[in-house]
Amino acid sequence: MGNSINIKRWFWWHRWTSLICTLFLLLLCLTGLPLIFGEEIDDWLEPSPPYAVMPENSPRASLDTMVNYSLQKNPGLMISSIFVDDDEPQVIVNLATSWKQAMTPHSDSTRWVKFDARTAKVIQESKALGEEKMGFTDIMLELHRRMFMGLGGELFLGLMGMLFVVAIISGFVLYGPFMKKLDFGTIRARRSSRLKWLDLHNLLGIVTGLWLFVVGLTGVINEFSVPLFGIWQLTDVNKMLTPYKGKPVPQQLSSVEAAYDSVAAALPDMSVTSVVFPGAPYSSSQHYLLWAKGNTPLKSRLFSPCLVDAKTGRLSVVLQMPWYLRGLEVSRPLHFGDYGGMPLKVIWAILDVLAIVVLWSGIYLWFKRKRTHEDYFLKQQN
Amino acid sequence: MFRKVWLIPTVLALCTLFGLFAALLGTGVWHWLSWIALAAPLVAMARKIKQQLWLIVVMVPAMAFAGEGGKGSVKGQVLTSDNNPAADVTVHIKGTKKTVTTDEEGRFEISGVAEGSYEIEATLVGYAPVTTGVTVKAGQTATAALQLTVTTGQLNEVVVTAGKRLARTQSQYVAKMPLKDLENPQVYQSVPAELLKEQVVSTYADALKNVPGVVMQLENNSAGGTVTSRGFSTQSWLRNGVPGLVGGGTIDPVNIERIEAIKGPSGALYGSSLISFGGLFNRVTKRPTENFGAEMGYTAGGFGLSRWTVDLNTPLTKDKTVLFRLNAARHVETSFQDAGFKNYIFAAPSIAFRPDSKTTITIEAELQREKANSFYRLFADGSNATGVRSPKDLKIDWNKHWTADDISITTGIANIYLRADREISSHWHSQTNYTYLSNNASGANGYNSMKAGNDSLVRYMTWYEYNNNTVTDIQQNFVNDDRIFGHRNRLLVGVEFYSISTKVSSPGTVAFDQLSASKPGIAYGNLNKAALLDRVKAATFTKQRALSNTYSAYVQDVFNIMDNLLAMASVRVDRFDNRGIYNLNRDTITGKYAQTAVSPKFGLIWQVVPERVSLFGNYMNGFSNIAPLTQPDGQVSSFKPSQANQWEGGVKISLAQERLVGSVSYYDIKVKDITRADAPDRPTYTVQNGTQFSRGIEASVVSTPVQGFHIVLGYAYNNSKIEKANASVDGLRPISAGPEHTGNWWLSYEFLHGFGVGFGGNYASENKVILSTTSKYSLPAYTVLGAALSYEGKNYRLSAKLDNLTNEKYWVGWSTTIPQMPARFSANLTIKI
Repeated sequence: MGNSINIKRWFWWHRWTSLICTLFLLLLCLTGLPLIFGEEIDDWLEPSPPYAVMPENSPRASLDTMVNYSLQKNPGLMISSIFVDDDEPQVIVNLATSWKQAMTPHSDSTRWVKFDARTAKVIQESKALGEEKMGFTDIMLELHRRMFMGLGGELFLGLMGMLFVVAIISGFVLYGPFMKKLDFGTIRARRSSRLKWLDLHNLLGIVTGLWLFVVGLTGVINEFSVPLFGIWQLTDVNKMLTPYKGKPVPQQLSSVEAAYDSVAAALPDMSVTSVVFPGAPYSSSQHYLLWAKGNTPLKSRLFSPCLVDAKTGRLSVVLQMPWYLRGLEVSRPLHFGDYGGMPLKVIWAILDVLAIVVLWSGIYLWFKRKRTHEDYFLKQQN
Repeated sequence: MFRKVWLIPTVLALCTLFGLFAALLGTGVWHWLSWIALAAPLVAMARKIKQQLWLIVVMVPAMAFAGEGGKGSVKGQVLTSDNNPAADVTVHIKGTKKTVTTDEEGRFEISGVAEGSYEIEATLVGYAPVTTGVTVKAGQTATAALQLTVTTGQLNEVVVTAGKRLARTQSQYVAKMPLKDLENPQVYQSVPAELLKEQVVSTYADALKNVPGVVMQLENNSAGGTVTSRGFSTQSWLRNGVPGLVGGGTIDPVNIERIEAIKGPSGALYGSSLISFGGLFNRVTKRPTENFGAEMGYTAGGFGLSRWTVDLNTPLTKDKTVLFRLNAARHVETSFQDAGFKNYIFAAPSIAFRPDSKTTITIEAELQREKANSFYRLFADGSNATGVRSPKDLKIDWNKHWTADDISITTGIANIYLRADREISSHWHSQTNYTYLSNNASGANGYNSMKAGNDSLVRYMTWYEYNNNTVTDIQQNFVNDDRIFGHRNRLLVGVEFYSISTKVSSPGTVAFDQLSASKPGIAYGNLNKAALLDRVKAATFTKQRALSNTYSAYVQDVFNIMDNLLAMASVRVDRFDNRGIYNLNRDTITGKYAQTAVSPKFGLIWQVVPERVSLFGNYMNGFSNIAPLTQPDGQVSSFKPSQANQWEGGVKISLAQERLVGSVSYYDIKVKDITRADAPDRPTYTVQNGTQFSRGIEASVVSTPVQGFHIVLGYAYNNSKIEKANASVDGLRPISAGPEHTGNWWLSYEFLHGFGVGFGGNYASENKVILSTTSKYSLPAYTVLGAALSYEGKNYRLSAKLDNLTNEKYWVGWSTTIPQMPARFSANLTIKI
């Protein structure tokens, strides 16, 4: 019976793709669970001081003031970037001993200073160089993203994610023949423990399936973000930066505030959330790189990089990101689940726990496979 | 077939897909759609697994929904009761860190508030906070109007019902240094004036009914009553941490801010004269404040209750460095019996003077003139042979007082309290107290005693030509609050001199007559003032003077081992010097002796949840001086002070911004070195080897679960036993221990428009007041209920109260039987300026 052979083939895929990726997926689910509430956990473990109460729409203080303060306070360090929060009234200035350190995750040669955006008063500062320890969520993220194995870890987990996606697709296909004679949600709890778990695996799998597929696929895309950005930099960006190649970073940088304002004026429907200083790898030595994002919920996921001449403070160019990076940008929230408030996070967490149950029951079913599944095919053939 | 298998999964998948993208499209309703769409498959799944499981799946995100939403803001204005803008008022959104201060227009604005319902609280120094509810919606500005219930010129105590709490969570007296309840490893309960106001309390005895485990043993006759606390008879001796006994007179509650019932033997801080092994009571009085205000109240009720009260407060100088307050009461009350009355005038003026910012001098007085016939004590014959086991078995008319109202005691009280507080430095505080108490009494009181068989009753009377006592107390305390090795350390060093002298002239107690308890007949009227004076005129008046001095020094240290772990250690050295009793008739001095006692205290308290939950344990000691005596062989035996040592452990809580405050503890008090007859070998000799234990559990809860609704609950269990005592009482519960189980409760609710209702009561289990191997007599268990109703207007308060609303017939006592008041209605009108 051809159908039966087809099913056997799908089953083979489902079994082996699942078996290979399951352990890593369990790790991803377990580390992902606290990451869903990463912001809340950080607030709870290391609460930041409350903001001063000020009238709504108080204007933001000049970024230059914050830059000057940060440099004076940290002699010998350079500013790598500035983060301007559009959610809370805070501005974070990041400093490092060198660009190499600035680009190294969790380097102990970086510092940050957090300002009240409206008063330019310091709210909080990172510990001295080398004293800042990885927090709980940092460790979870590192495990989740690359298992402390750098780019290699990212690519490997990306591969596992691809296997997982295949496992999900094959699982969908198998749902049909398995449920042929059963009503939706039937759980044969009285017959055997294996049957009960098979039914649960099917039910939980089909209910969470689409979510698992979306989160899995977007996770894979995220794991490949470094090579994707690399492609862009090697092509479009490289072309654009050719005229500035090899030139040193200007001695006297123009005002950051002016750079910010020039972008804000050119892109009135967007808001600038970060400023990368000239000299960053794969960036221009002659320009500030400002990331602006849209103001509507969907557009706020799409960033536009803008280059501002670091000598004149004029906007040079607003770059268009290629389709694959736009896809990456939009896919991020769908992976993180941070775009619909606390209830969405809670739902994300419930689905995450259910995913663990699906994975675990899959392993259980494999260990208990033998007779029963052969029985199944015998029955099918009769 | 295909449709049957795939219909539901497809719908669920589309649902999920829609949910995932809906939240990307927008906020507000899009978020809601997203949550519902994503939760729907989960609910469908949960229902299949277990019928009820879906409820949990819905509940968890729903709880998160409740706290969800965008940000909005709140703006508004705070006004005083006379509609003037209230500037510089702190406005706070409860449950958030957001706090602002109103401007000169009384306006405020708070932005960045997450969507939801909040309570906005306005606080002004010296006033209780006022709250109002607002609902904040994302992207919108909610408005809140807050009206303080006071004008700028009104008193602290005047009004402010919103935001009222009945819990008091710190005291500067209990540990002789300012300490929060959660920092004090000792148990105490506070009864605040607000609660007394709700209950329309007009006597100190009624106020004490709010203390868990406290039951009246003898009303009146001394300082508001003798009560049982943790199995020991206890009186109320302290006022603002210094001696404040008022002789034979009544303590009026008019100037009481709160009563602090400090539990367990507190010898280390308070010595022996002012405590019992079961605890002590400290009354904290109302202090002058910076604003002008006045209140005048009148209460009328059954059994002749007619009571005027005044509370006047005013600064005396423009710069408000001299403040004055007067609390006064005029109280007339008869009794439910055919005789018995109280009639007094009480005034408590108080002046606070601040010569500079670091010094406060307080001068206070208590003046009282009382004429009363408020004694009633009946000693029943509870011996096994009579068959009388409770007052219900007695054939006696409980409405008879057995005296006439021309027999009374006249009492005068003139007490002066001086106190100087000074901040010596930022770490050192000095407090100097000088107290002079003077009480005099003349007249008669007495008691009735049943002859064997409970058929005939003997009326005993004691006539006092005078019975005066004076107390001088000087106390110097230094309190240091500093850091040692980086840890907070609070130190108290103090010295005290306490001297009490009494002068009595009395012919002693005479048995006036004997008459039938069931049918006294015409003989009932034989006892009157003329007849009593006629009886005692021939008797010799014994005139005596007694004097005793106590010199004490004490140290207490409270050290933060960790931020949330505090250790307390205290010790007192007490030299008791009894100068003896001088008999003027015979020119002899007897009973001179001196004794030294050392009293330690240790405690540990750990705030398991900082500022919320504390676990505590203590070891406390109290002592009682014992006079030497001459044994039958002519030898003089001197004794050590008898000692009570308590171990106690428990938990204290203060949750939800003091909306739920309470404690539960277990204590074990062991008394040693009690003197007793050396029965059976040498029954005429006295030896010092008796012991007694008192163990129990005490629990108290004071809560304001929702605004305006208050709950006060108390429960106490006590197990006391006399050990190593005379055979007749060995192994039995001491008659002074009171009921084993007691409970007190009070629930009140204030409606928005100033209406308030309250309901509460007291329970006491059977009280074995006569108990030995040859006798057994107990007062039956009782539940007494009361209810109150009030309306708080802008300038007045109207309240009514029904005491003992079920008309429960009950008795209190301690070897005695004292019938208690039946149902009584009373009403109060208070005018506020």
